[in-house]
Amino acid sequence: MQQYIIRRILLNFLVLFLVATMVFAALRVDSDTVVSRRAGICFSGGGGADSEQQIEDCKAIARTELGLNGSIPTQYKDFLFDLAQLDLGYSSVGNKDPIIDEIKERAGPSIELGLLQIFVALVIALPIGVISAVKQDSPVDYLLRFISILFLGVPVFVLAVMVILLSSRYGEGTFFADWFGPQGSYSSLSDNPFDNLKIMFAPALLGGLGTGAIIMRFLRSQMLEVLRQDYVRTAWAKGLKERVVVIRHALKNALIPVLTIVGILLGSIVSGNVILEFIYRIPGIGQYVVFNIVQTPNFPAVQGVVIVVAMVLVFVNLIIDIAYGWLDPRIRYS
Amino acid sequence: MSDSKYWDKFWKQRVSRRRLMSGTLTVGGGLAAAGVVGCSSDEPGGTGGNGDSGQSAALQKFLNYPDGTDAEPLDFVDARRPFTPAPTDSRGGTLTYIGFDPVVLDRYDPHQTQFGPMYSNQSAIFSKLYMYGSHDQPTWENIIPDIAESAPEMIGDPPTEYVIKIRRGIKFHDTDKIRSNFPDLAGRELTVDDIIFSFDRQRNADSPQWPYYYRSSQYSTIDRMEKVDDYTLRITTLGPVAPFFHFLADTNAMIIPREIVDMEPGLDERPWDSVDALAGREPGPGDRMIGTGPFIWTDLKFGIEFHAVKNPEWFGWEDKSLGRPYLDGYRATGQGLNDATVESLFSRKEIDTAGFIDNPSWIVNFKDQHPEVEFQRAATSGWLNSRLKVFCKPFDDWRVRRALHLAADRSQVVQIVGSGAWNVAGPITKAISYWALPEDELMALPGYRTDKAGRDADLQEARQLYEAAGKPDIPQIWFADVPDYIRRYAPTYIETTLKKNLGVEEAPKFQTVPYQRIAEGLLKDDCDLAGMTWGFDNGWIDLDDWFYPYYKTGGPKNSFRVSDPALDTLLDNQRKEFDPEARLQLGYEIQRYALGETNKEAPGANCRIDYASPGGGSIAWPYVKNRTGWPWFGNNYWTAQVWFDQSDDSYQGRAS
Amino acid sequence: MDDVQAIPVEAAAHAEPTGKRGGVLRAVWKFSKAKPLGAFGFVIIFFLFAMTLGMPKAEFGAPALPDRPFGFELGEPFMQRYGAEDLFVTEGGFVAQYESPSAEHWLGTDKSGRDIWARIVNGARRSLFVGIWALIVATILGSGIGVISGYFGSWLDIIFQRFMDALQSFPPLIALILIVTINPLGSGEQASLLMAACALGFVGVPSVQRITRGVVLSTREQQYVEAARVIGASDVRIMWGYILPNIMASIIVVFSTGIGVVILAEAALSFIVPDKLPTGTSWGFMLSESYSSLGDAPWPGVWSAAAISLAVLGFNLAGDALRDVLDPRLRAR
Repeated sequence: MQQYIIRRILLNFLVLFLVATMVFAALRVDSDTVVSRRAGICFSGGGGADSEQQIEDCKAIARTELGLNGSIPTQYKDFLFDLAQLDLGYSSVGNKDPIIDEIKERAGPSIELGLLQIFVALVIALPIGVISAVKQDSPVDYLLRFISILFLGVPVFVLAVMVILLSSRYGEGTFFADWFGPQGSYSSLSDNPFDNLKIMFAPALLGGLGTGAIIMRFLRSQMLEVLRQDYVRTAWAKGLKERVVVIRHALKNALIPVLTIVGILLGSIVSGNVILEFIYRIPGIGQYVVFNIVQTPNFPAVQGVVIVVAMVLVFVNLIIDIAYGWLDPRIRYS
Repeated sequence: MSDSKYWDKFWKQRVSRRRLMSGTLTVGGGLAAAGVVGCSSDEPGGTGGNGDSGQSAALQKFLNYPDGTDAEPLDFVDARRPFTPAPTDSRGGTLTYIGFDPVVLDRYDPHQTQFGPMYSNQSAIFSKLYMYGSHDQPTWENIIPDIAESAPEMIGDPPTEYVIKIRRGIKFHDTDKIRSNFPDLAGRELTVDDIIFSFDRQRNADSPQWPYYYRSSQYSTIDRMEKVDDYTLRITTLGPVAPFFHFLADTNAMIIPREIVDMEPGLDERPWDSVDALAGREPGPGDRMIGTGPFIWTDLKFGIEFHAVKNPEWFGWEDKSLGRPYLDGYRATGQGLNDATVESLFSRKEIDTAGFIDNPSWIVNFKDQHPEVEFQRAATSGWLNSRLKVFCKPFDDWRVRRALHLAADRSQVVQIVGSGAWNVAGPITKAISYWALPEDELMALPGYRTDKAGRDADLQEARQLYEAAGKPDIPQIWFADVPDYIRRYAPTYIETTLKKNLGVEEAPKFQTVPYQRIAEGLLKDDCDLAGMTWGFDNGWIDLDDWFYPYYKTGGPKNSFRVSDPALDTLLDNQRKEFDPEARLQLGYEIQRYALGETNKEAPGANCRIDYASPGGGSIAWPYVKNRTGWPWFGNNYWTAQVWFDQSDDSYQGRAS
Repeated sequence: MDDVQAIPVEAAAHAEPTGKRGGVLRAVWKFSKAKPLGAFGFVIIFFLFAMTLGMPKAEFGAPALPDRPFGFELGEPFMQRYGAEDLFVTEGGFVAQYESPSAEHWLGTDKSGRDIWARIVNGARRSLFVGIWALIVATILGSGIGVISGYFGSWLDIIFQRFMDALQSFPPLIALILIVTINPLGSGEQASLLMAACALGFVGVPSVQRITRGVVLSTREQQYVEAARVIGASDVRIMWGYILPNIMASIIVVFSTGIGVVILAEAALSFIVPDKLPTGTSWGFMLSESYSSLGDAPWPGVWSAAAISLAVLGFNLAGDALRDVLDPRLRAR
């Protein structure tokens, strides 16, 4: 086991190295365009950049600000060296804060939203998945499955747009508008827990419905498989109550694979909610990285977010795998 | 061959399923075909009508409100008019609204940014020598002192020397953070040295950042500046410059302290010379926003929020005892922009004022339901236009340019982009009604007239000109990526203006391009880059700004590369003309010239095609007093006069 | 584009008593009875394809779609009443904005006075184009890598797996936005639609690779593969002749569910960064366009939302049913 964990950790670092290299390379494929794009504002300034020297100055300024001075190998070496020291560099736009501080500031709302969504998803999916499996092929099962499929089909951002429409257009002054409508300015959990909950409520619920549908379908098929196992039949034969059989014997075992999905969801907290963050005005990390790719190309920020996200993802996966082995004695790692 | 056998087997095994699929496909397709019946009498066509039918009632109502361009301004803050001071028990609170303020597309340096919302933020933080006291007639008479004590003493006829006295005891912002970052600057008094520094850096062509200085062409008219004493400044201009007084009150004329500029070596050991400090050099640009204005920069979270708080030590213009700014601060958020969100937030009083984003009808409807809210309609000086590279084929041919000008369907732009609430734009937009060509005259000109006969004649002439030019292909058109209505209108422009009105056969290619890249393309000699652009321009105040940088040979914004001696003469003349009435007439003449009404074959005619400018509208709860609203960016300092009337009924229920 | 029109297709399928096609119909009937939801999904998909068949060859001015999207000429318009960019005006000469549904405009008109139905239909073609190309890229790359790494195993497998792990660690939407913004193949130009489709496919490579690799790993140990190896069949021959047929079922399932995922991703991408994708008619564009005027004129947004949801639903349902029929092994995955 110990050996397995060590090996996995080493492999994770290899993965992270590959991620860092890929994002570094991707950003530099066409960095000339990015440089001249950034220098574009300079060209159109009042000076009008009428000489070659001035154009070169403009580009040099842009290159310096983006951290693109020096040859690609030198940049790569510096980048990896800084990364090894956990230094993600400084933002090239805005207040030019250290990237790590900006990520810390933005990660909070995203993580909160992601966890709330998983919570909502589990609260919805567990009972429904169990009922649907126990009452297999009954009308209740069909209804629940149809609803879950519906939520799989309706993309969460479509749902959010429609909810915004309904709440702000037709729900004025009602509970619906208060809780599902957009909120004014963001207040963090520590500032004002109640306002914060109000802001998070709708995106957590909407996002949770979508992921809940996935978990529910998965749980249902797991339950069906487990319910056919011999030990469950033995439990029935012993004359145990239905509740005990289903929950104590079946659900416990069916839940283990659900962990994998929760792991994947944990890893996708960042990118999964870009649009919800945008629509519900949550200053999360998804929005941060999109702004930094699209509005003003900010290489250090993109690199930083991608690496941090990848790091969280691979280590969460490792923990899930370890937990898996711990929960399910049949699995042995070597 | 064992290989192919496996494939055979695979397909045989699954053949029934394949047949199943093809069967359903036939059935599905057939039914779908049968479903399509009937045709339409509503044929696609062009716009141009000027009737009243077809406009929604809400829009009609909106357009019937007087806007700020009328002789009697609605309720703009006009420094010449008395404003209501706040009673002492009704002070404090944070004004909240949704706007573009937290978006920064370029830089933080007040002299380098060309992004309107950014220098609007900064105008509340930094003071200027002078400012406009009225938006209505942006002329000399309406420029009032900000830092300066009084109007400048002008020496010479025409004047070339300006002696300016500034107020005493103006202090830079002073907070704990500023004190730790800039111990010498916090609370320091502003002197003439700061003013000289602020203008000097913008005319220093040796700085590596020189091209970044947005208004450097204005300050290059300065010959020398002399410090008479700490509070007296003497400026000598290079010859007579009629708009010079305006330059001192213009939107980027902010006075900044020397300390906030990063002067450490940057490129080739030259000083970096920007408030946007090099990454890694503490403090960051946001922490360098230290001025003498009514508000103190607190935080700007990109795309999310801009927050400024009251400067208790503000010098308060002519009367410090009034205790302005009345508010504790203001907060602008800017996310998830859509009308439904804005309406919902406004009705719950989460925001105090609201503008419309897409369609004014919700504002009008809201006003109907809540008659107490205050409505304000204000045109904006920014406008949509196309720039043509006159040295490129086919735009070197005046016939093509004029054809594009005549074929442009401006009322369509107003309807589709502006939901009918915008204004058709001439070379100077309607918001600056003082300088703009009178509307009666403009709307009767070819390309602008909308009566059926006139419009038909224009379209016919456009086609004839285009055919006479040999029906050349239109090179790739670059549409700006922000604001997004430009990109959305692009296919309609191609389809109606070019294809239908002009009869262009080969479909012109177009793409959506970030505005920084457009700026780069405009500078290049390459005709494939930005040969024709379609975008939004900030808009300007004085006549000189609207024309001189664009049309003067070698001017900084002359991306057309036009060199027209007749136009140059006109432009030089308006710079020398100090008589307002004569200058106004010169301004009209220049506009007619640019529209090709003086000489349609002139090289300077129709190199820019102007379409439309925003006609904004906003509402506020009645508890918001002395609300501001200005047709051009960069007037956030007026927020110093805003206060919340806590005794007003509407104040009840306002979210904290 | 709504269920009312879609359901009778099935009814027609049962009712039509053509002797020659009796076998087919019986199969359809059996399938529909066993998997009613799957059949419903197929109806939606076929309806989508039927809508796209009659598109004009290229949208005027929009460099978006090639004339021959999948190598064959498209037929005469038949689901198309107007062009996607045709602008309508009222009698008074105003742009016919936000007209309510009528006989002329089945779903009404949008802000620019264009027929919403025409735009929905055009958007369907774009969605399918992107979906199919993305899945072609994803399955070819994904299954290729999956077969090779699964078959050869050892260090080759480890390297490929780490690369896949690395790719999968990129948040997909972020990776997509990055690729279309940078547009690595066209310096300074806006990404083309094909480029966007390839990006969408590229992001899906790891999941396809994982599924194929799993199947290959289990197949590799089968006796008949062993036997082939013993009689001296080359690696290429074993992969092509013995292993690939075994993973075909999984690939077909992945393909059909994948298109739904890609359509969703394309819509999300056009909603969040519309300026980075080529102009044209896209459901995501329609939704983002109508988002800013949601309060006053929600209908263009509602229709495009319905189109996106229905298409994604259709491909999901069909994919699920196919999976149950073709490859029960994938069920647990």
